[in-house]
Amino acid sequence: MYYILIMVTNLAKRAMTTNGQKACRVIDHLVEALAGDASSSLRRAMILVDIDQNPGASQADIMERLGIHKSAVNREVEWLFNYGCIMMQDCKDDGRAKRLQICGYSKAALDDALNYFGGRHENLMRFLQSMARILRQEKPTLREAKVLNLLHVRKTAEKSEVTKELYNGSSSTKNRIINKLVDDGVLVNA
Amino acid sequence: MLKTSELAAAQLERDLATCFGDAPVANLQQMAKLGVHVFNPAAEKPTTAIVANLQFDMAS
Repeated sequence: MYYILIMVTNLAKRAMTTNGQKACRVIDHLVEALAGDASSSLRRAMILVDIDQNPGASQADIMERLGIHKSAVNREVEWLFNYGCIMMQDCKDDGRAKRLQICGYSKAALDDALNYFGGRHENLMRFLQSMARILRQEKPTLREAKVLNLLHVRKTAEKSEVTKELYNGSSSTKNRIINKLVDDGVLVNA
Repeated sequence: MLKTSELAAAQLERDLATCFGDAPVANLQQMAKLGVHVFNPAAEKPTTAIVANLQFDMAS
């Protein structure tokens, strides 16, 4: 009964959260799913979502579905494997291919993110694509997506307030990210 | 002080509404699976607008 009460309270809180607040929480869960690395690209997050949606996928499948170049997929898959986000199994039909599957802490954190989308991978993917489109960066990261959504929630904020919320990392990196977003016209001085 | 540009804010508003649009309904379904009765006498089916008015019947 106590467990149900906690669950219901959490669900009710989630239901009454604004979309901007939800977006910030989703990004937090994605950072958690990617070994706490907020400088992970949105593309890396998309690959992880695709692997979760299609267990046993090969790199060729991911390339085809997401339209990402082979070398980029290879690099990101290697990163995901090295950080314990995914498992690899030999493919029975193709000796050179590996079947990929999400695992461990990544699976748990990604499930938390998916809860905000009613478990729909396609909506989480759409969310990531939207962030990439709005950020207009060459290789947008989860940290940049957090800046965007934080300011959307707060309407206006001092740069120092924003940098405090940007996970681990040096102040210079955080300042550079914010300055770049201003230069690109995504953020403006109020 | 910083803020999002008008264009970015408008795009974000629209896109987030699309991406999260069905989430409250999914939450209601999740609650129903837990055996929690959700009352919504005013609407035929749950929508984002009525989520704030949810009542929970924990007695059963």
